[in-house]
Parts: sequence; structure tokens; C-alpha cells
Amino acid sequence: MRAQVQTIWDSRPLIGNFAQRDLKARYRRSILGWAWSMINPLATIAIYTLVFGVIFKAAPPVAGNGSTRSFALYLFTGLVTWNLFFTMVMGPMDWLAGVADLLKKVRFPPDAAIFGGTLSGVVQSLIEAAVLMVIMIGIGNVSWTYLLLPYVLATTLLFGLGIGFVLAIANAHFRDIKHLTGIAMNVWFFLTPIVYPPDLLPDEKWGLPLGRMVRLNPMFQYVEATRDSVYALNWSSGLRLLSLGVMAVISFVIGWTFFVRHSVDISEEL
Amino acid sequence: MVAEIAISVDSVSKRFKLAEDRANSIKELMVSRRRRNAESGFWAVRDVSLEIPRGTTFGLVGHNGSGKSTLLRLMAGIHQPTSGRIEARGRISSLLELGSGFHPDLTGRENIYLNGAMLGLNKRHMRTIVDEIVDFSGLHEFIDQPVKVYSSGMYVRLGFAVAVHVEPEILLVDEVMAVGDEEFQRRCFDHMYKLRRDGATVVFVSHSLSMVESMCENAAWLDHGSLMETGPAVEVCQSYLSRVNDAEAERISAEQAEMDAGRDVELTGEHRGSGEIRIYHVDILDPQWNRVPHARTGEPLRIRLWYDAAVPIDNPRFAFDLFQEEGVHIAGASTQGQLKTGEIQAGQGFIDFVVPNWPVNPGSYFIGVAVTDSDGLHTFDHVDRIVPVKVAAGGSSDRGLVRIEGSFEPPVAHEVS
Repeated sequence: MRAQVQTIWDSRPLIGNFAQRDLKARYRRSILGWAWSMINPLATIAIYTLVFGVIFKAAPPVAGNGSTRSFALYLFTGLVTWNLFFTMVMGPMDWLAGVADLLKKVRFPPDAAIFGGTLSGVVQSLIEAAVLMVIMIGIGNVSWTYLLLPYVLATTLLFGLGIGFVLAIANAHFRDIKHLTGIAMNVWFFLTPIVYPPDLLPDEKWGLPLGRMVRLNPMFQYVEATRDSVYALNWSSGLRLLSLGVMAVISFVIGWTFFVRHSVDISEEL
Repeated sequence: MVAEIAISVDSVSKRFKLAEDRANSIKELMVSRRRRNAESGFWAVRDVSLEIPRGTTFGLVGHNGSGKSTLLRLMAGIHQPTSGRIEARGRISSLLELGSGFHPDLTGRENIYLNGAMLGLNKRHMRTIVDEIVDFSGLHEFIDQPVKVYSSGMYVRLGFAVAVHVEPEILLVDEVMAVGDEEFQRRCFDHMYKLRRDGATVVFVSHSLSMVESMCENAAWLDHGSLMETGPAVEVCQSYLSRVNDAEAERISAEQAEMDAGRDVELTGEHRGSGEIRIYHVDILDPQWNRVPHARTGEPLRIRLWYDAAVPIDNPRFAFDLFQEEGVHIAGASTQGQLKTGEIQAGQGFIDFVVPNWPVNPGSYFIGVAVTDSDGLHTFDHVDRIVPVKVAAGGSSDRGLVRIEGSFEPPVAHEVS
């Protein structure tokens, strides 16, 4: 563990380079360039407002300021967290494959590519979070609970990245993994109350304790903590905050260590 | 004093999985009942041990597929040995193949930074050497273009420029420099010498034995993944060369046996001339009159022209010409002015041309033959470039088509007063 931390610390220039490369490539040859990273989340909010606010007329919980009932913002708050998680789970497979040619010709720690991709993913996530904050502040939904948002996003990142590390190795051996994960993530997305409020779920259905099961879904905890922080403006329970950190650390340490152990000869599989 | 070791290779073996013995999808993994045994796959390197002292230049020689490049990659840490240990002490810079370590979408300049980063050099450090790298590569106009538009020569120039300017302690070079033009190659060698003077260890793979002999202190010869010999470069190259010659000789003697079968038939190919006398065969003989499959540079030999005369002929003129494979006329010899052949009786016979010291360098050549009357006005027989002659290296090899007789004298200082 100490050796792998040291190695990656020494690879800072390389991680920075990979991150830069990723960011540069993202909006290359587009006229609006970086404006897209702003336009995309705004468009998402607009679309959800239209679909859920106008067409479905869904009723979201009241926001922390006591007056706003915007399904779009409720949804987008959850999406900021989910998108970050999604990037961290799916990204490493592509980031590793993206340096396959380099790995065959030059020796460098393969996890540097993953951390580089992570950095560029963080940038996107920060932009989305900033858009969210600006809107929230604009409608007067402000509280000290905002201070918890960095913690919630950081733990979400680590939790997802741990899973992503393992999947990157698995995908190098069996290309099916990426497709399987795509489906699994879709299922997970709808199992997590993001596009619907959690109280929409019945407590019991077909003899299953549905309410309790949803609470066991780690992503539900991360999403709820985010909503607590910037939508409902509640202080999440200490237990919830603790469990977010514990899950994140366990997932990240196991995933990263697994990756470092199994990526020694990975260039032959890519 | 025992020299410090830069790279130690300790009974290293490397096995590559072949495409057919690996499951590429979960389905294959489930369905395939075939037991995968540990012996399957391809052993690219088998039980190789060697040590490379710091500050020396080391050459790896061997035919294609002998495991040289794999060994180089193991040293670079790109592959991990299947068994054994390999240890390299110092920062490694490698130039393993065309455009190694370049990302096609990035510009030349961005790739310089990327390569530096892979060696752990930060931006600040790279900024101080990037101009030097651009200068060395000579790619000023193209350095801000994506490297995917580069030609292969430009790739190599940039790759080499980066590899040697990041102050490597160990430089690993695969056979890539052949791509650059003469002038660039010369600069590469100059720079490699400079690196070596600065105490860097250089390991390189080359098919050019003369290059290995002149640049390396030590060398290793690999054959089918196994280490055949390691030691001083000159000795290793000589052993390798003699093995190559033996193999070549074997192949040629098989060819020769085929030719022998048709010995008494006429030389195939178009005979021109009136045909009273014909050359029907050409032999290459060693000084003991044994037929040999190929000539050796620097050694004595005889060229024997077999003729068949239908009628007695007075004082004919025999001649032969030597052509390089591509058709360059290298030399010719004729009995004219040197020998009166006298009256040739009807029937078969031969005439020998004796060479005390064969001057032609290794390669493939052809001999053409001609017989004319004593004045050279009437052609009895002429066969153009028909007899193949292989020349193998004897002793160390030279450059060019022929060897120049002569030797250097010791240098003399000349002081301008």
C-alpha cells in the first residue's frame, strides 16, 4: 500500500498530463468548446423540468427554503452525484484501454492513467455542481449544509472508483464486462430513487421489505446525502455520513490494491 | 575493482499466451473444457542470464524472432518475466519501435511533455529541455502539428530526440534508427557516444554486426529465446557470424546439390553466338579444388569455366563478368592480352581463373560468360548474367561492394607553427 502510494505520488506529472489530454480532447474541434460542459447540465435541467414538471406533474418534496417545489432541481441534485459515480465506475475501463498502446511501449504505472481520467472526471463534476449551486443560490435555497457537499462528492468518487478499478482489470480480460456493466448500471440507476422520490416506493411489495432494501443500496445513501446538503438543507445523520466514508474507503482501498496487483502484465491483455 | 552492474538479468524466461489459449469472453471461459496447461504458449525468452556493467554499451544480436526485442522490453519493464528476476538500476529511457510512446492526436510538443512525464520529469524540467529536443529532431515547422501527420522518419527523429535528451541513466534502443537518413543516423551515434561518455548505459538491438562490433564493449547472442553466447562484442559477433555462415552454407550446398544434378546440361538461359564452342557450366572452387557453395570475402578461390567444343578452335578468348544482383557491373576478366589459349581440341574441358584474394563483399551476384575468336570479332558463345554466385563474409565485414586492399598507418600529429 505504501509503495503504491509512493509510486503514484511520483507519477504526478504523468497524471496531470493524462488529465490534461483528456480535457483537451473532450471538446476539441467544437465551436462552443468548454461552454458545452455548462450547456449540457443546463439542458438536462430544462428537459427534466419540461418532462416531469409540465407533462408528468410529479410532486417533489419541498426544498429547504420552504417554498420551492422543483422536480427538475430535485432530480438534478441526485444526478450530480449519480453522474460522478457513473463516470468513476465506467471510466476506468476506457481510461485503461486508452493507454493500451502506450503501455506496450513504455513502462509507467497503469493506475496513473486511471487517476488522470479521474481528475478530468472531477472537473466535469465540479462544473455540474457549480451550475447546481448557482441555481440554488439564485432561488434562495442556501444553508450551511452546503459545507457537506464536498465530503459527499469525494466519498461518492472514491466509492465508485474502487468499483471502477476492479472492472477495468476484469474488462481487460473479458470485453463482455463493459457491456454487462452498462446494463447493470442502468438497473442500478432505476433501483436508486433518483428520478422518483423514495417515499413513492411502497414499504412492502410481494412480501419483500422494499423500503429497507432501498436503504441498503449504498447509492441511495450518497444521493440522499447530496439532497440533504443542497436541496432539503437538512444535516444528514452522523451515521449516514460515517457510513458514506467507510464504504468509500473500503471500496477504494480494495479496488486500487486489486488493480495494482493485477495490472503488472496488463499490457499483454489489452 | 568490480564494475557496478546497471542491469542484471537472472535466469529470466518469458512466455506469451497465444491467442488460442486464452479465453476472450466469459462465454469462452465457461464453454471451454480444454485444460490450460502451464506449458502452452510461446516461450520468447528462455532462461537468460547476463549482466550489463554501468557505463558500457551492450549489443543484442540474433536472427528475427530470437527474443532480442522481448528481452529489451523485459529490461524496460514493459513485460514482466514469467520466471526469473530482472533488475535495472537507474532511470530508463527507451526507444522500442516507431513512434513508441506517442499519442497520435497530440502535437509533437505535447508528446514531448507526455514522454517526459512518463519518465517522471515535471513540466518545469521539461520546459528547460524542450527547445533542445526540437532542435535535435529538426522538426521546427511540424512540432505543433499532431504526430499522426508525421512521416515514419519524423517519428523516429522525434522519438530519438526525446529518448536521449531526458538524461537517461539507461537507454534501450531497438532497431529503429535505420529509418532516419544518413545525416540523422550519424547524429544519433554521436549522441549515443556522448551519453556513454557521461556514464549512461546503452543497450541496443541491431542486425548490423559491424555496428555492434564498433559500438559495443559487450554483446549477447540470442537464438530462439536462448542465450547462445555473451561476452566481448567482437567475439560474440564472430561466433554469430560463423553460425550464420554455416547455416547459409548448408542451405547453399542443398541448392548446389540441385544444381549438380543438372551439371551436364547446358547453362540455362539464352546462349548467343555461333555455338562452335559453348560454356556449359561454371564452378566456384576453393584452393584445394573442392567445389564450394559460396565465395568468401578475402579468401582465395578459382572460377572454373567448363566448355564444350564441337570443332577444334584456334586460340579462343574466354571472358567472364561479375554483376551485382541489381545489375551493377562490378568487374570482368578476359584471357585477352594475358594468355594465349592455343588450339582447343573438340570435346569438353575447363579453364580456371585464379583469385588470390576475393575482393567482393558479401551479397548475391551473377556471372556472365563469353567465348570469342582470337580477335574478339566473332562470338562463339555468350551467356548474360546467368550463374548465381553467393558471397559470404570471411572475417569481419566491410562496407560497399568491394574490399579495398590497404591499411591505415598510425596517426601522426601535425603541428602548425
